[in-house]
Amino acid sequence: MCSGDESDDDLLVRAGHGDEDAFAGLYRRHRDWVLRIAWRLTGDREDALDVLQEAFTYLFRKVGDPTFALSTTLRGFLYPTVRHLALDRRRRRRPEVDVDDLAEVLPAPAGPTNISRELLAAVNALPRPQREVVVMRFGDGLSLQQIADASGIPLGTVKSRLHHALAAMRRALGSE
Amino acid sequence: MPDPGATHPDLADLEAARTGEAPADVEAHVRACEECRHIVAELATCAGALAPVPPPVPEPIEARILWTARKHAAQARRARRRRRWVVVTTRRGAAIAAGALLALGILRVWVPGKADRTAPALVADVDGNGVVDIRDAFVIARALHSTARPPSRFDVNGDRVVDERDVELAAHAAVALGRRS
Repeated sequence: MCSGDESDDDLLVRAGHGDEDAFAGLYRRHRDWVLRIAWRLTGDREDALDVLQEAFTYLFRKVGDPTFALSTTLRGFLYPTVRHLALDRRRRRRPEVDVDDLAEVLPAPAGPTNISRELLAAVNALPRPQREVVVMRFGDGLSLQQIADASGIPLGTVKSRLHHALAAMRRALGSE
Repeated sequence: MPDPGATHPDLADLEAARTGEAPADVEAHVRACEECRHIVAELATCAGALAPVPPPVPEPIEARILWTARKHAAQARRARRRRRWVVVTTRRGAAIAAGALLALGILRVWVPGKADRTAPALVADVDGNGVVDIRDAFVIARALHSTARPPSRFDVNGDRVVDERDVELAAHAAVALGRRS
């Protein structure tokens, strides 16, 4: 069975040996996170579920290949995969929309409240580089290092953009 | 949200502290500073409010993904077995090849090859009639008993001296060739 204490690396090793529980464990651990990103980027439930299946099929195929070696964290590997699949799907569905703009916008919260609406407005008013970092951080749940890796910018730049973004959001919300 | 101020960690570090990514000194500061703990708590509220809540995965799709997982697990097991077989087979093949090469090398040392057998025989044809026979040994022996210096081509064993050993080698070559023919 898959223990919650087991690291991704341990599960990947077991999965590489053909352990079914390890495959299932990797899926269950990252399912909600992958679906969250897919749903945000596609904006459509059915498309998000399709992306979920495609992303894990791709991961399973890679993990089962004895020559596969992960050069980053599992989420660092999955994130560009999910993003690519989701944006590609969205592009095909709505070719007239610039998906690069959509990628840095948070969807409206499911149960709208005043705080979430104001927060959302504050995020969407940020300059694009700052908004991108905030969306990846709060929308996609990435670590600071994963944002740096995914964006191809230094960690210090990520921190600087995040600091300025949070300061601007505080000003917009009247927190300072 | 109070301003963290110059002596406090910046907002990015405080956000990193929310998820346990901050350096140890920042974590220690947050534990000791009520003001920063308050900001971290507000950041947690902000993260919760902004995180999209995805729809649940329907059971048939969940089942299909887990079936795919089992299929790829089985393929991974087969791939590993194939890989192990290839490695073992390759290792065995390499061992057999190495053994064969070693055996050939030993045979080469112990059993002179064709070129090695014919070379002394041709050198032993000191009278130059195209045949190595006992008469070549007699020619060398006769030259040793003459007062004239023997020609260098009588040096059958190549030690730069024409003596009884060259007679013996020529005789052996003649006998050996006689046996093979």
